[in-house]
Amino acid sequence: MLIYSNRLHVRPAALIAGVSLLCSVGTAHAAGVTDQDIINDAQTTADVVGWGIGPRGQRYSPLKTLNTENVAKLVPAWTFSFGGEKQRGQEAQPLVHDGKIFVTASYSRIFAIDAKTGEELWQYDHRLPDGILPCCDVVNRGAALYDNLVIFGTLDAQLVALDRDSGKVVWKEKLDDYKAGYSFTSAPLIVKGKVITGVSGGEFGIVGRVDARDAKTGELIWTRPTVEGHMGYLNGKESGITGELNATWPGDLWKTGGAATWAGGNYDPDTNLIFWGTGNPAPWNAHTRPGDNLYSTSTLAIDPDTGKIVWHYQFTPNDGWDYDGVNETIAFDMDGKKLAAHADRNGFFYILDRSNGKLVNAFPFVKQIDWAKGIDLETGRPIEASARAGDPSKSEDGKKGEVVFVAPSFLGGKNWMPMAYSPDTNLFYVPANEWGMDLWNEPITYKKGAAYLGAGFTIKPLFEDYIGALRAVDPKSGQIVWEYKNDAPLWGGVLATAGGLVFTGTPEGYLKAFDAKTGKELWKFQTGSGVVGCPVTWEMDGEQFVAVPSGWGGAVPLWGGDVAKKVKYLNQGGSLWVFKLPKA
Amino acid sequence: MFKSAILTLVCVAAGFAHAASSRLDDIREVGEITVAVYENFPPFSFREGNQLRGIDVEIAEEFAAKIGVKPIIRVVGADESVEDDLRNNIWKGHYLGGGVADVMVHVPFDRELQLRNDRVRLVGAYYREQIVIALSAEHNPAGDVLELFTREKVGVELDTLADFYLLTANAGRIRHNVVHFTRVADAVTALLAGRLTGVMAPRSEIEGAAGKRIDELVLVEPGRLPGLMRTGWDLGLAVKQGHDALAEAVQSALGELHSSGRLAEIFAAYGVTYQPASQMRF
Repeated sequence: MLIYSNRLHVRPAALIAGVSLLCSVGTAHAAGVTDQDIINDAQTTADVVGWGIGPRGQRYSPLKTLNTENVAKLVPAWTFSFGGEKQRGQEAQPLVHDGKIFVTASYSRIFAIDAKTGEELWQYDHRLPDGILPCCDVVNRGAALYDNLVIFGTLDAQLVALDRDSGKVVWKEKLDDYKAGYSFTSAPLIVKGKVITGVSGGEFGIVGRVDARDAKTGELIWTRPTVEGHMGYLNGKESGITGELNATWPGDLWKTGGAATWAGGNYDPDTNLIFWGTGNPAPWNAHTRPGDNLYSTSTLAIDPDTGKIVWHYQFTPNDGWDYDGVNETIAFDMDGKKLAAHADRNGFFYILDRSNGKLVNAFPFVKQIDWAKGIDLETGRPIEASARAGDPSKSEDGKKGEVVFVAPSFLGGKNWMPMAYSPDTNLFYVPANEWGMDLWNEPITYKKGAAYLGAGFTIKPLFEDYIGALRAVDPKSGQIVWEYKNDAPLWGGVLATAGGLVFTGTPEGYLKAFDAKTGKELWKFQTGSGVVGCPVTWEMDGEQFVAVPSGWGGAVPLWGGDVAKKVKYLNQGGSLWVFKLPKA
Repeated sequence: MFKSAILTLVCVAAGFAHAASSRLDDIREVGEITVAVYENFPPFSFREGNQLRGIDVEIAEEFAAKIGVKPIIRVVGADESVEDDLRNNIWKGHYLGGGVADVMVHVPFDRELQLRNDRVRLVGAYYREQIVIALSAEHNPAGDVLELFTREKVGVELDTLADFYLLTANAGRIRHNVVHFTRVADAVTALLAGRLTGVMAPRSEIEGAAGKRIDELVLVEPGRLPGLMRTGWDLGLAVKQGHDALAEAVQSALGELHSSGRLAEIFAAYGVTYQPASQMRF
């Protein structure tokens, strides 16, 4: 029901033109980031060269200098302000390589910072056009490194490759037309020399897509639409349509079917597959599009060499609750089996065979799920409960339809913020939220000056004392081993380390460290604004560092309801915090 | 809220002077009034070459002239709902900056909408919009149009009331024949070119798009379509709540434009039949 359409001619006055502010020039030109560096990212402790801290996205570091015994002593090493007049949500995961930190910030900005001193090396402010109006805050989730390039996407749906030493533009490619509702907020993924991207814009009229470009030149190699009936391309030639035309969509609705690919993807070298999530189908009223509406609300396993869909798994067929399926799918091994895990908006935690997409297990990771009684392990399909809003066209009197309460809310049992997996504890650490929504049809509503059939919704917390819950989920038993409850909804990424630690941030401003085995809170630090970014860790000169962006924003403050009172007092910000242990 | 708005209005009418200068005073001092219109929305607001034209644009120019100031037209995109548009353009402004307009045109003049949006005041109803079905002229307008569309193609603008209605009408038997367009004007072009049998959309947009070729079409009024809850609504203006002198000024300007026949002239200039609003004020 979220039809993210916004286009307004406003001038973001504070934005500087797309210029690189060169503050100092690096002297030694070290070796560029290679495919091997990216594949090995999870093992190499001196750097973090890609989204997910390793291509599988486990967000696990083998570092143990910092551990459960000494984390209480962790102190700031330095902090860096993103500056500017505009702040809002800072959801990025920083990258670290060759003594430099590359971190993106709100309003399509990126900074290169000296990792030792916290001094700025350069800053690039992308010039955003007047006509832009992104739906869901002005966040950016991070960059990708390849060779001598740092590559990131912008709110006006461009992909920009900068020289990592100078911050100067090397190439720039248009991902799609921002005027048609396309945008970009996630971190690009690099696989075998290709930069792989999705598109944002939950708006009606758009169709999701995964694109691969030559990372060094920006030249398009393949493109794969996520809605059945659309043609894919490889090297400029047709490479087959996605799915089968009109198999799960009526009429011409597939042409504008949604399934945006806005949250990025992971890569599993073992199976040579990219795992990419897709958003909800359009239009919002599920009664108008009977059928599964493939491949909305799914994880797609895509061959990085050709862009072919090897398998798919759909979480919420014929979605009627706005349960985007964009959350990450993470490769991991259990009992000698090659599996993948996914914690969906819809409240279920899925374990899939990552070679073929077959469902191995599915269980709730939140306390209340109303839309389905469970997932049938034989068919892989949900056992739906009767929790859909009625067909608005059946309303007799044109008044507000019956109110249906459904948990989770459309913001999900878990949203975009990535979970972590520790091969030491064999647990997933899931940033979950406990909330539901009142859902009703709103016949007396208007859109662009015309009567419209809309949906009304109000998000409601399920419990008085918390919404957020960091949960340690055992993928074998389906049990929650421990949980940490947080008053405000959790909206930041998670990091696990071999030091037995789990890090995550809170909207209240803290970066916190927990004992990975017990969930005991071992350390916290107040960063001054909400933490909705993704923490990373690395080693430099024999010391272990932890970094996280701070700056409250994202989708939560844009939705009111009863959640507002838990977050309305939170102040915005925009900075990168870096921590380490004091020298003995 | 609504009662207090009326109360304020009464006070103004009774001549109780405002202590502070009103927004209208500021507008007159600067000599400019900012008016928001939707982008790419013929026949109401659209670009022709470099020129901004349309019924809403001319209405803005006319009421600005009556107030005695210059109109600054701000072209805005439509958000998810009119309520979002009112927030973005009238009472708060969007978080990307750019501020707000004094007046927004083409806002549904509906008591329910007013009650749900107490940060704005709806005034100056100027037109009665109506959903119609346009058929190519050889079709019998007295026939069963819904039955016709189970066999023939019908065009709609994506994500509109007509779209949702036809996707579910006749127990879904029309669904496969619904053809989606990003603008009504494109659907009408397809209809006139013989690629569709019908178009369902607001009358003004169909008439504006067809222009002189409107004679090649028959317009069916949807009074007898089962399950279509709303087929007509009034359009007016929105100003920020509390800007009462401004509200009264645009209200009386629109009243004069209606009674002088100027509104009908403006609509006619764009090929649109002028239908007065069902009520000029609540």
